[in-house]
Parts: sequence; C-alpha cells; structure tokens
Amino acid sequence: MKRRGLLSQKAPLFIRHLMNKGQVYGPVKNKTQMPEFAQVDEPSRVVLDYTTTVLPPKRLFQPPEETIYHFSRKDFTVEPAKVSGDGLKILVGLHNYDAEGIACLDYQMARGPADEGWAARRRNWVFVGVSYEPDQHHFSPSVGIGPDHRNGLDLFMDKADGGYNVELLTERGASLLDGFGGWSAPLPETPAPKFHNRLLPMPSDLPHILARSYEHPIWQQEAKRCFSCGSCTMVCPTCYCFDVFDELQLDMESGEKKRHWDSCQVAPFTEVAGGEIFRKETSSRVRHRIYRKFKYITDHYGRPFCIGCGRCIRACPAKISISEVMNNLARKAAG
Amino acid sequence: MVVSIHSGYVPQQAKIVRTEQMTAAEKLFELQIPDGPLGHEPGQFVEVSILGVGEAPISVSSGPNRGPNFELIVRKAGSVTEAMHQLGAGAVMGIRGPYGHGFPMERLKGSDLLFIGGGIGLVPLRSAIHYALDHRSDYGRVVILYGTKNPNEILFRREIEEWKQRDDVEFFMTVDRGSPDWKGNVGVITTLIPPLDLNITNTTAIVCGPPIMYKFVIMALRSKRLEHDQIYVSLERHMKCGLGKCGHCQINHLYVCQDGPVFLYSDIQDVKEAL
Repeated sequence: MKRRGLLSQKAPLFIRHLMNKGQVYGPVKNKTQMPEFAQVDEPSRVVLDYTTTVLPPKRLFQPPEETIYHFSRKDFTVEPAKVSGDGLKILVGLHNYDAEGIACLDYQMARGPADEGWAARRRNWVFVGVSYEPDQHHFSPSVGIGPDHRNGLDLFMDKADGGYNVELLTERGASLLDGFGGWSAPLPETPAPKFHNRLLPMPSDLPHILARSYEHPIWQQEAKRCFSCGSCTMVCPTCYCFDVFDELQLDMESGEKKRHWDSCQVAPFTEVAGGEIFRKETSSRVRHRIYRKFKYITDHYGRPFCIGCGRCIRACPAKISISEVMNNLARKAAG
Repeated sequence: MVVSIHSGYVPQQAKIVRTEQMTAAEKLFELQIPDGPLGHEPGQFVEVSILGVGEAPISVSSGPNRGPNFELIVRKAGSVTEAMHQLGAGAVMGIRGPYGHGFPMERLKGSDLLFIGGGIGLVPLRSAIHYALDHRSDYGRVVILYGTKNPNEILFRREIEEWKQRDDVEFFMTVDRGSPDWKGNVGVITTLIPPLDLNITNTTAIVCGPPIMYKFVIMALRSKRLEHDQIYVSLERHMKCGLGKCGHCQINHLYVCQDGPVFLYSDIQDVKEAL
C-alpha cells in the first residue's frame, strides 16, 4: 500500500488543497462537544480527531427534511425538487464505520424502486477516511469493521506519531493528491486503538440469536426504560424511515410535498386511519429496531445493518444499549 | 447541471367523473386519468393526494376490465379522506400508483373462489370479484361472504342485488347487530362459513377485513380443512411512500406496499406482526 506522511500542522494545507479540487465536507466545529458533518468553509474548522458526530453523514444524502415537489393547488401543477448534480464533492474525516453505514444505505435505497433523492445526492463523492480513538461505546470491530477496514474509502488518513500516514486506496483517491507537495516520509505508527465495548457473538450469529428471541422477556424489560423518544433512530447511520407530508404556504394555494426523518420508536408510526396502531406496545417497537439492525435486512444484505458506532447508546436518555441487549440475548441463548 | 428528483412521487391528475354517497361514512369516486385506464391488478392500491392536505393509500375497488375509469370507495377517517369527501364531480385529485402485489387472478384460474369481506374489506375484494365475473368461465364457483357491523354500513347495495340474482354467484351476508327492519342473518362473519358446502381441494379463499377478523376467519377455514396455501389475505397498513422506503407499512421484514398488500397466508403465517 502506498503511504505518505502528513504532519499535523500540514493537515489544514491538505484540506485547503482538497477545497481547490471540489466542495469539501467534513466534521466541523460546532457549539456542542461533537463536530457535525457540514460543508467546510475554512480548513481550521475541520476536526480530524473526534470521537464521533451526533448525526451520521447520511444527512448529506438524505437530509433530515427535504422537498419532494412544489405544487400549486390552483392549477394542479407539480414541480419536482431539484438537486445540483455538478462538481466533485469530497467528504474528509470520515470514520471507517460511517463509510460502511453509507454503503448499507446505498444498498437499501437501491432496493425496489430506487430512491431518486439518495441516488442523485450520492453522485460524485470521494471519501477520505480518518482513524479514531474509540470511546466506551464503539463496537465496530464486532460487526466486521476493525481498525484496518477501508471499504468504501478512497483515501485514508491513519493517525500516526506527529500526524497521519495517508493511504492511497482508489484511483479516485489518487486524483485528489495531484499537485499537493506537503508530504513527508511515512511517520512512526501508533499502537492500534483499543475498543472498550464489543458484541460477544460473531456477526454471522446475530440473526440466529434474534431468530429465537422474538418472545424473549428482554423486550419488555427494555421497554420499561424506553421513553419512545426516537433519539436512537434519529442518530442511526442506517435508519432511513421518513414521514411524507404537505406544507401549505399562507396563500393557501402553493406549497410543498416534503419528507422528514421519522422514527419507528414512536407509537403513531404504525397508526392507520381509524386509529389502529400495529406496534402499540413499546416492547414491540424496541424489538423492531434491533431486528432491523441484526435480522430483517441482514437476512438479505448478508452482514449486520449496524456499524457499531454507538451513537444510539450515547443518545439514549434511558441508557438502552444495543450491544448490551445483544450480549444479554447471546448469554441467555448460550446459558 | 441540476437534476430533478423524486419523480416517483409526482401524482397524475385524476378527474372525478361521478361520486356516490354509499353510507354515512363511505363515498364512491369514479376517476378518470388522462392516459387511462389505470392498468391495475385487482387488489392493488393507489396513493391519493389532496394537494396541501396530504396523501392516503386507497385500494382500487373496480376491476381492471370495467372501462377507462376506475373507482375508489373512501371512508372518511382522517384529514385526507375528509378533504376527498368534500369533492364532487369535475374536481381533481392526485393519483400515483398503482402499487403492490394484487390478487393472483391468473394463477387462480380454474379454482373455486371464496371471497370473505368484513366491513370495508369488501372494497379491495370487489376488484377481484369484478375480475372473476368478467372472466366468469375461467373460474369455478364464486362464493361471496360479506359482513358488516350493522345494516347501515352495507356497501354496494345495487351490486349486491345483482350478485344475488345471478345463478353463477353464491352470495351470503350477515350483520353483527340487526335493526328492526333487517330480515337477514345476524352474527359475525365466521357464522357464514360452517354451513358452506365447499369443494375443499379446489377452493381458494380471498379474505379482507378489519385486523380482528383474520384470526377467526382463518380458524373457521381451517376447520373446513382449507390449507394455509389456499388462503389469500389483503392487509391494511399506512403506506406513506408506496415505494418500500418510508417504513410505516412494515410488518417485521416485509414492506406491505411492495411485498403486499395481498399475501398468501402460508407466506405470512409465521410473520408475527402480520395478523
């Protein structure tokens, strides 16, 4: 693998260089402790050394809220929303699990009638990964995304002593390096990061564990704590459910059909006209989320639909932990 | 370069040709689209859009061979259906679809058909009944069981009279609670099943009704020795996108809008959230 050194103090120069190649997005400083994925206007605002972000990078491809079409009631005209398809876009500072989360949604959004919004916004991206120091919640290696995982990335900035060793992974990645002269010799490697959370079962065992846990009391137990707030699904990199609704302007004539992120964890999610709610019990909703991550989609995707980022664990006000749930089920299945 | 997205959500204009108030809560809309017919399979649904109010999934109630127009029967149950009810002939609503898997009428050729509709469950069944009657010689017996809560909720009264008159249709109905002038059966719909004399090996049951109904109807069919792969059900969920993405219609791993709404019972008997 081709590696070249990039001293920490040269990293902003490298980002500046990337900004000449295309629109650069990355984790930028925020009012909160965690950076957020946004367009980069100033290299110094990019945070390359971060634990994770609150919202995953999917927001760049499926925004929290978006217009489907504009309409006018008067003459029944409907004008589909448009997105810019031009120009190279570079997402810098992506953790390897987040690249895998985007790959999960690439798969799911292309199933059946492909999601046109996702497909259009996913065009012309180059992904520049960066290594990270896990906190107590990350468990990515347990779902097959270890520190050396590079799937979906074009370049990788591996944290090293005094800076980064930049790995060239694809031709698209190589094209980004043209004209940058700030390299040094490869830097001394730092020890591989230690993970403090993990799943006990092998990834391939997870759907089998759930296959025999549908009626397990754990769903009731977790439901006692769950506030049905939906935070876990809002921050999940592989959740994609949304609500479709109309927004009428004050003129009562024109408006927009929109969609925004929705959560299967709130009770009205499955409500039909007439009032029937199909997942009325909190326990059935808690179970549904976990099954979506490790069974339903996994059964055809072939790997977990969870990337082990731990965002749902950090976000949960009731401290419900997806890794703990799976480990408890695994222990009970084994014992 | 700017690209348009979400063309799959764009509705076409459907003009209301005729309406008919069927009951206090249900209204029939005969609709015409510019490039009609709709091209639906019996049992499929459309997303009806009232711009500024929203969309609702509504099953198509007429058979595909009934001319260029199609019919929806809509119960006033939410904001969209309430807005629909205010519209009359000449008005326009948005339509996208048809979506989903309907009843496999082609595969059922030669079979005796046992339709079991509870309440507005008869609405989607009617598209398959139309199809069977329009291709009458392709099918064996056509038996229709229909139940409503009370006589005021009976839909398709004229059409039911025609079905009763035909000697190639066996029609039976019941109401949960009668009224002073009700002369027919009183009792839940499952009471119509035991007296039936069915050719069990060649009968397919097609069932649609409120969630509570399925369990009992399927039990009654099982005691008639009908197998699970001789029973089709059409399931109601709130399909918001119709494109297998938004998640609202999901039952376990299935998206009702794409995988259904019609399912062979043997395919979903182990899908816990289905019935």
